[in-house]
Amino acid sequence: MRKKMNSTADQNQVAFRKMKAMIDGTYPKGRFLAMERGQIVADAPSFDELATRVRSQGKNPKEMLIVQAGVEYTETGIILAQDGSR
Amino acid sequence: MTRPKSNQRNPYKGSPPRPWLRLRLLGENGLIRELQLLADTGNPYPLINSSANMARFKQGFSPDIETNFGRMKGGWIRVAIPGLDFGGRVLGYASDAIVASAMRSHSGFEGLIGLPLLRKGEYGGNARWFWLRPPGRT
Repeated sequence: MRKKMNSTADQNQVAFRKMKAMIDGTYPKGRFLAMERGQIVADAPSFDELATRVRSQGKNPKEMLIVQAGVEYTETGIILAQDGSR
Repeated sequence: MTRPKSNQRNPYKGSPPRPWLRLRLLGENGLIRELQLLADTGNPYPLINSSANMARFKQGFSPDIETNFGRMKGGWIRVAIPGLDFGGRVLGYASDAIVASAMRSHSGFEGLIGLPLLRKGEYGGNARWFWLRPPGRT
């Protein structure tokens, strides 16, 4: 059964995965981008500058998905040293 | 031979004995919280901590990761490592299940510090101690 998307944060996660190739092909590697409601709302060369731009729009960067172009964000991982097989 | 002025050395602790490091979470308005984190060189994520700490110190979301402990919620957190003169914003992840697992070794552990942060310096250990010191010239 398809899982219902329950928050703006989830919406941003899904949108980012779909837009990843476009982002990497459009923005310089390392560029910071902020996403809200599945849309890119600001970009900047540093995290601090991005946060400033987001705030200048009257928005809160804490509520946004912030990613860097050209950086791989793995979707799955294994924590080897801990016992997760409970 | 002289030892570097700044480093962080901690005796193993817990059952079984585990290497660990202190790390500070830096929030707004001077908010600081120091954590004891199990040092896990096999962990490819810089920092794994509790959902409560993440909610308090997160400066923005980052992509989540599905793991053998379930989903880890991603976020950007500003940290400093005492003794290493390192401070910066890193990708942190929230997993209360992983924190609970670390606490089974020692109740003081509040998460994991992984290889991406350990590589900011030179880490090592002997029979009694685990340490992290500033990077050398190599």
